[in-house]
Amino acid sequence: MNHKEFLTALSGKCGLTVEEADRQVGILLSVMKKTWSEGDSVSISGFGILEVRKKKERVSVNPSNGQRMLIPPKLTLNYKPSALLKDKIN
Amino acid sequence: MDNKINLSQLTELFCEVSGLGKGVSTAFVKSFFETITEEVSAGEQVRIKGFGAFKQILISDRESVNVNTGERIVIHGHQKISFTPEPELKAFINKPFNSFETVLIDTPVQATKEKSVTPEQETLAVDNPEPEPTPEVGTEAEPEPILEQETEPELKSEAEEPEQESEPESESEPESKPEPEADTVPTEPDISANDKKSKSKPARRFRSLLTVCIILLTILIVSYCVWPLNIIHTMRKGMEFVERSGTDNAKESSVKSVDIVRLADTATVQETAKDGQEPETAVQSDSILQSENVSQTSESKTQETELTLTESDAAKPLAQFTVSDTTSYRMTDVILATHVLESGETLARISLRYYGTKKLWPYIAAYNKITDANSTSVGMNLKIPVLVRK
Repeated sequence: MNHKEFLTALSGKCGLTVEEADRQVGILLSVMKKTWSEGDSVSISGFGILEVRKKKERVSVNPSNGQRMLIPPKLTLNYKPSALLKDKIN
Repeated sequence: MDNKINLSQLTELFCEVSGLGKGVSTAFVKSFFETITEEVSAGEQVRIKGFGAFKQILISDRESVNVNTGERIVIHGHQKISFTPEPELKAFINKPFNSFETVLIDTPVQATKEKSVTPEQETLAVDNPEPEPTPEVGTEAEPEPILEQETEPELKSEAEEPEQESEPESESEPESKPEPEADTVPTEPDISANDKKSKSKPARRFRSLLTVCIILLTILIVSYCVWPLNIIHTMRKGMEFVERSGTDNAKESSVKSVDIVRLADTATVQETAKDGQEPETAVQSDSILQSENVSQTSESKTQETELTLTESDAAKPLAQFTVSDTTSYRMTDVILATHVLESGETLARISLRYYGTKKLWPYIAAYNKITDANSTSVGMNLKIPVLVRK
């Protein structure tokens, strides 16, 4: 399901036009982005948690030439599905 | 920070920005996540622009081992939901750390100096190369152990002990060695990283071992200086015994002198080293016995045993201390009892039963000519000698 199909399904559900839905999705995402940038996580029951996690810096070795590289620390967006959803798919 | 924003809070925030009615925005946010959930649980992949892709991944069965029982178990496969954020979102999330870049660590982890170096020197040489290549990692502790090593040999030379003299030599060698070789290092950067890793670990372990050894040796030296009187005292007793038995039977005396040393040192691990020295002198004295008078042999024997005892006891004076109270007895030919060894019984327990203390078991071992107290067998006939205080 690509973005277009997703928008169609979404607009059908809440009675908005596809264009309107597209705009609202953008707004929703920006709201969530703001939440994450503040270090908060978004927790939706029945869906899961979307949170920012810090990965520590590490040294990795290129196996082919033995070069060692220091990989900097980074922040990643992590999704953890809720137990409900996990049960559903298994 | 670290707050959890739930659905209603998210809706409120969304409501403020979007300008939609509360009811509509609630329905919208809810259906947004519902749609994703439904599609993903139906096995579909959901790709949202500006957000990312959700999809199901099949994790197949895998075999594992139960850590407690060692049984092989199968961990059943399952479906997993993966979320891959779009590069844009990734970059946005990682904004605070975006300035960082992957850095190539090009410090030539000093190419080790194999081949030309003998195996002994190699292990020692690994010590010194470490401090040079690690300016980034920062091992400030490195220089200290080297200083200790340098001061130690001086102490040892003062003590004038033959065993220890060999060590300072080997320690001083690597200090001079690696310097010339360090120049050759840059020419061999190709030597694989695996080599370096495998060498640095043993090196660290070796260094800690070395420091422990040095500490032990200093303790020994100190104790050697502090308790010489005690050692000599206990040695005399051992020698008296050797003298007495030596006049009776030359062969028995050799066995018993070994046993006496055992009695004194049962607690030590260095037993073997001493045993190795003892029989030699006993054999030497045997040959003297055959050729010369009995009186002379006893004298020469005491001298020789004294020499060997001083050598061996200097190495571990503490051992004398712990068992010293057990050396003040003399075995007589009178047998107190005969004991048949049963399962679960130890010499120490038998000693406790007949003598009232566990400490006197070495006499039983010596009288029954048991060399290894751990290898007694059930049904053994043990003669328990009567002990007389000296």
